[in-house]
Amino acid sequence: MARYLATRIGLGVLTVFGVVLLTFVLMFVVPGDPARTIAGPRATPQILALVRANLHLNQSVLAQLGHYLAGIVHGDLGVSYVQDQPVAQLIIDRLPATIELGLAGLALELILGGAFGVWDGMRPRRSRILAVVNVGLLSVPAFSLAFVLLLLFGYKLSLFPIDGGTGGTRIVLPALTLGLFGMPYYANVVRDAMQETLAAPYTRTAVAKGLPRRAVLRRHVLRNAFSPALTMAGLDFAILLSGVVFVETVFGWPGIGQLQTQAFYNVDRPVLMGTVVVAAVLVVVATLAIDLIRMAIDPRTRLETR
Amino acid sequence: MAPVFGAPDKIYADGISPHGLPLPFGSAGHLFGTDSIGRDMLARLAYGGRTTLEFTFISNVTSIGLGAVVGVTAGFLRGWTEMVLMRITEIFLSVPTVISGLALASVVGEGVFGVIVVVTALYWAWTARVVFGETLALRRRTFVEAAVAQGVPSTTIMRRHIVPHLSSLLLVIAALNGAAVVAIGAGLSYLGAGVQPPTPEWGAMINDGQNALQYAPHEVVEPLICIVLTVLAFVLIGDGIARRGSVSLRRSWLDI
Repeated sequence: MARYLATRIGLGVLTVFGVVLLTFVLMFVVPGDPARTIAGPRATPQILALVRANLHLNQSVLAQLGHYLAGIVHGDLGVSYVQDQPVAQLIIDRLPATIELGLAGLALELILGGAFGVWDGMRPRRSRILAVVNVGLLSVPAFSLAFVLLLLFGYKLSLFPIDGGTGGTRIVLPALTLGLFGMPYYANVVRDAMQETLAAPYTRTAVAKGLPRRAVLRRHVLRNAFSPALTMAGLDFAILLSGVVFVETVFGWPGIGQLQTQAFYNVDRPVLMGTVVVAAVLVVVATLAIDLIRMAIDPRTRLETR
Repeated sequence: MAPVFGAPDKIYADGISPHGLPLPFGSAGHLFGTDSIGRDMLARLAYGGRTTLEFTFISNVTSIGLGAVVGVTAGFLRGWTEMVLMRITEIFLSVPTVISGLALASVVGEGVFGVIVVVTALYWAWTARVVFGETLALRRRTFVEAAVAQGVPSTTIMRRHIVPHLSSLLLVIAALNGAAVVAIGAGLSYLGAGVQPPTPEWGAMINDGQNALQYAPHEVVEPLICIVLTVLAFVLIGDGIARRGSVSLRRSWLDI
């Protein structure tokens, strides 16, 4: 287990390093002078030189990359060109909102997809409804779905605040968007797993030894059927975050997606880069966490302990 | 087709009601209504479709081409080539597309060309991963082993023996990837990082219309329906081919 963890963490670090390298190269090849952006068009050459020296812009590419990497290790992602604040601070301020929305969305897609998948999995034949709902939801991109819900619940029915609003109900529509958006994939996976588990010998044994139907379902079928759904949640975490960015923008949710969109408008490169790096770290950490949870639930996916 | 519906950029004097509001759906002369500055929605939707198909077609070809080359090469050559290529693929798959897309768009610029570059850079990895898996399986087939034993050069084997067997898979990928590209293109344009106004594009139109949501929902609803129908078309095509060719793709593809 320790060895497995070490390998996974090592690969994760490697991935994040790759992301940093790629974004750094990308940002470095861009024409334009950050020093001028910061100091303004009327800055004297002395001031420009000072700004460059402060940002290490007068050094070689490798030295700059070195500074950036060393900074990341210390939790320093540079300073925003526009907001004059440390990027790390800007992201940390926004991160809780994104994590809250992301977790709510993840929970909802697992619950909705799981419920739908279990319901369909218990039926002998695949239901038409699920197929239609699946294809229907697959065809609605996250930001479009957000607008559909906004129009339906916020505008037509006036159930939820259209502008985001405040208070506990604020998260309902954004989270529901994410939940519905991810649902069809999970419904499919859970459904297939249900059929497989229902036909498995251990289920037949459990029924044969006289366990009540509920107990068989709960202890033997559901537990096994949800394992592939969790695997998928781990693999698709990046996709979930992608959806979060759109949903944040549509609903005015103050997370890192909004930060990234604003940074794009302002051509604020340190923030753009920092967000990419943090997103990569989030994905790596979440994927590992989900895998560990799955191992806890499903003994088959555990590793041999030696 | 598009010019039949009129000019997309023309601001009509009769496009705004006496109260200063956009004309609603079903107005005489402007069947789909007008937007907030009096442009005909139908004409803009038609031209928007043209923009969408343009970037979808090109970036679908480029991203799948790149992904297929990487996937086949990694899967066939194995060894360190596989390790390097698939590591890079993993890296591309581990950053949420929109977040890296915004960073990338700030570098390559906006507009249709920008969308094509961004989408290619972000989507090739999906194809690469699927094609890689399939190539690994094909590699064990006897006809490939026979070719290897005869000393046929690797590039020839890949071209003559592996790629033809991937064609039905690639067709399915093309449809599903196309659906994803329509969605991400509209999404980036919605965020302001894709096709720029005044060029008509559905995502950008939603962005234009979202402030009018309260009193002129048709400005959002119409492009929304266009996006959904187009994505649906691609998904159904992909589904159809997948069923006929018994290709199964269980990975979620559409991620926005």
